[in-house]
Amino acid sequence: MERRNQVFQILKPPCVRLSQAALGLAGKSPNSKAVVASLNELLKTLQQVSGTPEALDEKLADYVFFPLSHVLRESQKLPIRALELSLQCLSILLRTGWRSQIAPNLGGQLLILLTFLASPSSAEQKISATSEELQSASFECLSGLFFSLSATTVGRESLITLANIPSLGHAVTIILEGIMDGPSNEVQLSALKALEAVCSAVKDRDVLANFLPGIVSAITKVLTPSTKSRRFVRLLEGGLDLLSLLFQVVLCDEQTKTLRSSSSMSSEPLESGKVLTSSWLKATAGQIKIALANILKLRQHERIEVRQALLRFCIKIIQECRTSLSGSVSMLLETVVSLSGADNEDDIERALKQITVADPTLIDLLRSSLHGWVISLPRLMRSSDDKAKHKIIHQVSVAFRLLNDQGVDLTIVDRVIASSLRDSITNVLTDSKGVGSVISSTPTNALVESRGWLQDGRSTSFQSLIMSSRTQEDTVEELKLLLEQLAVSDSSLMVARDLVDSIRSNRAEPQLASFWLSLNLLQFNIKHNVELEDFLDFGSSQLGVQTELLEELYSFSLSILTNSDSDSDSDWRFHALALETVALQATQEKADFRIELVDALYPVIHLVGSSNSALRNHAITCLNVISDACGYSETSGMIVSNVDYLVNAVALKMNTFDISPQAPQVLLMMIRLSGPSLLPYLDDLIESIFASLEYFHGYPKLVELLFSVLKGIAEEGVKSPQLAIAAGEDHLHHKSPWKLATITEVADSIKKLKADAVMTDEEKAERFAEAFPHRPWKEPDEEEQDSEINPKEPEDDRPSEAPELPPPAPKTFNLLLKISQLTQHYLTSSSPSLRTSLLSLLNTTFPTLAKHENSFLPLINTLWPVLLPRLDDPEAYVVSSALDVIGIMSTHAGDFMKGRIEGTWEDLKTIHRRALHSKNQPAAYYGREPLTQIASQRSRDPGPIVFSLSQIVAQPQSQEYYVDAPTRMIWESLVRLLMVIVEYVAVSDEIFDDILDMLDPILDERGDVRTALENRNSDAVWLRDLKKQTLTMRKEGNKNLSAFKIPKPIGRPEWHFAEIQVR
Amino acid sequence: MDSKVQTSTLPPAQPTYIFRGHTSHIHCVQIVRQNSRLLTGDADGWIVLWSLASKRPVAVWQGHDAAILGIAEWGPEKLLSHGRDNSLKVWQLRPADEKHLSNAPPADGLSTHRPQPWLLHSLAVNTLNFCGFSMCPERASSSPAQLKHVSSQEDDAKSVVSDSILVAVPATEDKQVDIFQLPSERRLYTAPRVQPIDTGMIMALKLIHHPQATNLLLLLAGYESGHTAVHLLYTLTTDTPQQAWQTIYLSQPHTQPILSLDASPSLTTYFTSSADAIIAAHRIPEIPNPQTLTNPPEVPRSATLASAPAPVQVAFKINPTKHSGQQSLRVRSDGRILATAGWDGRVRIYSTKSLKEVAVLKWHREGVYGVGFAEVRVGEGHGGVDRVDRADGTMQRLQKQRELQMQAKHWIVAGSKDGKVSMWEVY
Repeated sequence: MERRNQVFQILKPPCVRLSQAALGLAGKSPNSKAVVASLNELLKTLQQVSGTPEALDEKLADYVFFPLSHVLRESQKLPIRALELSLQCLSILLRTGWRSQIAPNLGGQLLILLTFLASPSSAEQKISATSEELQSASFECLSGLFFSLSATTVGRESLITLANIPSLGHAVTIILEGIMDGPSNEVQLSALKALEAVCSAVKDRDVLANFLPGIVSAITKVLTPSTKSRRFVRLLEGGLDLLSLLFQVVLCDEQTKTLRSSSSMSSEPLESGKVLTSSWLKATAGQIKIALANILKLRQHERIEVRQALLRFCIKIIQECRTSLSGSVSMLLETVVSLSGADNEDDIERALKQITVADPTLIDLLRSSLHGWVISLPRLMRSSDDKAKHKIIHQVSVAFRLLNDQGVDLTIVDRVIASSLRDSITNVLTDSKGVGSVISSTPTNALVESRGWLQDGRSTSFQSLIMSSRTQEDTVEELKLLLEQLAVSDSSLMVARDLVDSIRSNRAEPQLASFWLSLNLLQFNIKHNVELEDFLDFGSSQLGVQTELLEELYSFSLSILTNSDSDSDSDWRFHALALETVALQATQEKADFRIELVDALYPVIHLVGSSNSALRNHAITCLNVISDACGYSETSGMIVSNVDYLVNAVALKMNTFDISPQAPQVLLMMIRLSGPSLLPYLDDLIESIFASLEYFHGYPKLVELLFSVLKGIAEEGVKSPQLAIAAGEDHLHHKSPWKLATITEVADSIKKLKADAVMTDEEKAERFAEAFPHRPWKEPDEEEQDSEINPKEPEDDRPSEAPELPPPAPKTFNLLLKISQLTQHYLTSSSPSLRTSLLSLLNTTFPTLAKHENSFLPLINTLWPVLLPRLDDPEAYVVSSALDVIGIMSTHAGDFMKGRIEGTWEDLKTIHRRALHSKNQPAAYYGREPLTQIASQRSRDPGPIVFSLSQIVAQPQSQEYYVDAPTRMIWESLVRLLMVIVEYVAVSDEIFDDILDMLDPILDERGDVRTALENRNSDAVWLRDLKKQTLTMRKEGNKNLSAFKIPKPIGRPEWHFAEIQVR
Repeated sequence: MDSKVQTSTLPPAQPTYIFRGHTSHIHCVQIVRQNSRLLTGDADGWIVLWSLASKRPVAVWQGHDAAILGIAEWGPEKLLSHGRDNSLKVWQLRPADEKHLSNAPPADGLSTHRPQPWLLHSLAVNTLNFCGFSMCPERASSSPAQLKHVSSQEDDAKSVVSDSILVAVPATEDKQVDIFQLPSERRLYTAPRVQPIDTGMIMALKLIHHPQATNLLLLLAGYESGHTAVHLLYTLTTDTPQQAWQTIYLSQPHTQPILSLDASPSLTTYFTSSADAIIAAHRIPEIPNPQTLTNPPEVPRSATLASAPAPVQVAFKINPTKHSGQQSLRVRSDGRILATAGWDGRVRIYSTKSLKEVAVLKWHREGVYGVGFAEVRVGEGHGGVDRVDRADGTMQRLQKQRELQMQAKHWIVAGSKDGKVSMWEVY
């Protein structure tokens, strides 16, 4: 009481002031400003007061309303602002003081008043102006009013008294107008709220039923999506909620059930006022169905709130009104299913499940719509609307899952689903045709660089095959989900059976589609069964069918893979799918799959060399999967332990002159992986390679590839244990005796310098007699040159070598020999890279072949004529390699090379000159002048020595010039060769001198060169140094030749050191 | 079946698989153990048992010091091998023993430890050229056979079959043949030379039971001179049972030494091949009238039949093939085709009825020395293969299935001088 008085005291002054102002309005001088001010004051006070709950009661509200009623009465004279404020006040009153109860009379009056105010048309007539605020405020007041009225039974009943019905009807009409055409969102929303209040206030179903058509049509208009007006989201939500509320009240099944019975019993309605009859229901349901059809379009609304509201709406209606609105249920159900895709599926599905469990008829409905969807699936998949595709697939899969969970018999659906799915996938595949099949430009290396794919991150999952666009990927993902659903169902194997059967009968895309589908289906099925088998044992029947299907797929895949070359233009995706199948089968069979590797391994590896990168990746993945499944720790391990199968496959391929690059590549890879132990099994393969080389020698690419295989064989071959050991010993053997011999020889030759030419010939003849009988294996035409050979060398060399020893590891050795011999025909090839590769092959095999001299020396003889022209090769690196090969020949054949080296000496000199020329072009000019002088003093051809001598002087400068790579390469090789010649070959002294001249410039820089030369003839080197010294001295200006004299070295008097002076 | 490949429009046949691993010439190949294993023997005395399913060796050992001349299977557990080192060995090699033996092929080098299977018998026998042994189960006991036109003995014969066999090898006297009994290792008979013609050394032989009287032994022999003869072992119906040989057929279709011969499974016909280009078919004669057999004068065991020189007859059918040097003639178990191994590296397949060439298999670059057929299994057919026992778990299912597939196919294998064995699927 105390509190109420307080409130009253607070409220009293503004009310008094307001009533005064309002009364003033009636007078002559209306002061609207005063009214507005006092209204403002009152509103503020009211807001203040209403802040504390229960502050205002009915009495107080009445008290406050009194001045307000004055204001409202004079509404015409007042500005809109005053009306707004008074309505706000009224709204507060309705919310607070009159909330629990309101006098029915007052309510009726207010209803009329507010309706009047809310109506835009009435505003035009009587009120000077209207505003959005006014309208929304009046709607708010209306809703407050209805709430207040609904709070008491008296109020509710008063609302539907005969007297009030018309005004109520008007109010509803106005509200609906407000909802539909309200100028702003606020107005529409408040109108909607008011309507909600009406619905909750009017409990009488008959009255509501009367309003129903109007409300439904208005709200439908609001909810129907149209391009013209975009409705406010909350309005849509509210509209949906309202409708569901309304339907629940009016059309709820429980109500209509009784209705039907009653109406059937008595044909005459009980009360004439009542409209609810079964015929009415029927008509209404029909109308509502039309309305719903429009409303349900909202499922494509982009806002989640709206969709959720729609979902709520649908579910509610299905739950409550499914008999009365039976015609619409299927529509609603479809909407729910399609909505489930969007968001929080679980809830929706749970709801759906509850619904379907409640009513079995719904299941039939769902099934028939599923059937419809499945049938329309291919058509939709053909459309370009990805969203629609996505949606329908999702619908199918949700419906399928639901029905399957309920254990519904789905045979009707199963019958069509296989073909429908196939057609759908066909469409997707046709769309994505050609995508992803990017042909990489360098396919050939893929296999050979085994390190790359064998050891890098082992992927064990396949990339998706159908990948044209982002959206399509989604579609495919959806499809996979659907398949997963399908796989879980009992009928999955039937469907799979259908699909597998259709694989063989179809062609092109449909076939591919069947393949893809059946594979995926089986995959899911297996996954599912594995999960299930942990708990249950189904016996063998189901598993049997599954394995049988998989087996069928597998054999189909194998046939695809093994015929991979026959129709290479066929869709690569077949191969990819086949690979996936093989992998699946492998994972199923685990270690048991090893036996299948006889047939399966090679085709898979073959595809690793494919030119299609996607297919290649597939193949690699497949290999990884297989090796994992078979229990190999590594993919390379699997290859090594099944290399016999691969050898067989490659051999059969090569035997038929199949010239696809993969077979040799696979071979090379195998050789690299398994090392020399494989070689004894390869003899016929190598023969096949030789035969192919013979047939296809005109194709440089192929020849190169084949030789790369041969090179691989050679490189592995020299590693084979027997040959490897032998090579080491051999190396030392050749070298050490020769060093000894060199020194003595050098001593001899220095001695000889003094003697004249006749004397030398005699000595030679003498030596000839000793040496020749020991070298019966020389070619006749070389006798002459060989005759000069150092007698000591053969004597030392001979006994160490057992007569006619068979070569070590005969099979491998002969292989290497054969390969090396074969190179002679291809060294003239037009492809420089082949030439280099051949030369490096020779480089690899020679040290090993040298072990068996009786085959090695004839080999040199065969190769020499083709090797020599390589020295004039336009490609520097070929020249360089040729020099290296000659070097390695010299190393291992030793004096056998003497004649040949001497024979080609001029060539070597030319090369040297060329190299030097391009190396020191500027320097050549620099030192031109002194050359002629020295040259004139020389009796013999001064060519190289002149250059080198001049170079000595020019050297400091020349080093600063840029030397291009080819020249440097040749130069390096030449130096190496010359060193080898000096070390291992008993070349004549003239040549030694030349070599000394050539190597002179680098004598000081490179210790190894100096050592090599000194080993042969240290005195010559010393002499060279000395001459250089004097030359520099002379260069410095001391032109006097008498000063050029050198102190004689200490030696025997008959050595006549004076000779030095001349040179 | 044969007729559809007569056309030459088909692409050349390709081998299904090449077995690599032997280092020297392969002399004999034989598919054993119900088509599940392949047995090969090479010139260095190596014997390799391959699994047809996995195509890998399951047992490798050096059985002899010299070339293997012949290999055969004796029951499910025993293998016979005949080497040029003058020995005939019987090995015990049960499927379970395989895992104790080396499975590294000879090409992998000699370093590996290679145990030999259990040696049951080692018989010192004579070896002549490349004439291998011939084996046949002993139908009757070693007691004198009754000369009857009966096959009712099959029942009790079977009990004997599993145990004892007769093995024919060239005798020390190079025109005769010794017949040993195993496991007793006794020499039972010595078949005499053909009189009065000089046939030269024995080159090929085959020991069979007569098709009508299964207790009668027939010895088919091919000679250096190109002669071939059929010798019958009969029992003299005197009080003391004595056995004697009679040459009941003699023919000379070839001008060069006979290289191989084999009889059709029905034992009514046999075929010979020689170093010349001729393939000949011969009828095995009906059993002669017992009267004519009983009449000859008393002859001691293993003596010559001087009194009854057989007339030289004309061979039943002759095909001058123009390809000389065909050896290792084998008739397939269904009797429809026969194959020869050619020195020119080709395997030729002929129809047994017409002796027409129906296929040429070319893979080897060097001469082929031996061929062998897989047993053609009738009855089980192809239907039985698909329906693999799924009841016994999935563990060995694939393997079993594959093995069955392999067993059902009509393989022919050929071993060559290049040390490789090619396997083909024909007809």
